[in-house]
Amino acid sequence: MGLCRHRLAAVPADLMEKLLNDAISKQVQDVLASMDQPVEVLLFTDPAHSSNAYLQQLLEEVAALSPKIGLSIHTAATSQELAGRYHVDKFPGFVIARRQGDALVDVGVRFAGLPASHEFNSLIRALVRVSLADSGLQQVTRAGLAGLKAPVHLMVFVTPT
Amino acid sequence: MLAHQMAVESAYVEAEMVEATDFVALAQQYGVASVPHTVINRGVGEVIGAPAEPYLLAEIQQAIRNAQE
Repeated sequence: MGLCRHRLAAVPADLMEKLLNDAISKQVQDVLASMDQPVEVLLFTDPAHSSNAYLQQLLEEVAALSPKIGLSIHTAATSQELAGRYHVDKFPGFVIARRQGDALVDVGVRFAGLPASHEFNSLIRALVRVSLADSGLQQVTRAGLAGLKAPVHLMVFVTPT
Repeated sequence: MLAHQMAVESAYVEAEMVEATDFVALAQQYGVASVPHTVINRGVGEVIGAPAEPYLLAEIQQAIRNAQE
């Protein structure tokens, strides 16, 4: 399961074919089948950014692979209050929230920019983990995190390989 | 991604995957020269490379202690 940035970059924005081919779509669909609770992806766009169109298309294609993924698209410039509420300050960027009835629960899972290459796997795994509300961490790590008494903000810089 | 797993686990943790080539100035601001590079609490701590669970947890705990001193 992977997504090649170089191939993406070769496709003009106005002529975009599907980013996920049939084989990858099928694999992703199989992984997403393990989702339990619905999730909502809130994308905040920046039309001036070179990755913006790709990111929106990628999320649209992924969301189409599971009925448990909702996608709402907001222009960052005109949705600052909403972006601020979800602590999204890099655009294009998105948050994966868990849906509970009519409410969205922000569990603190965010992405800034296009998760290409093997970071695409991080996106798919994050969708499933947020849905299942299961971190998959070792018991000792869970116990350590349970002892936190102060907010922790992690930024993980990655790059397509 | 481990940071995202920690966010799912703890209400205190929020985790953001940042595509460095999409946010070059920010990556430079934090001195990102190789990836993955994890920045804890906006520069109080950092981990270069892909950490195992106990190591990232320990670095987070250290960053919180450093901020309190």
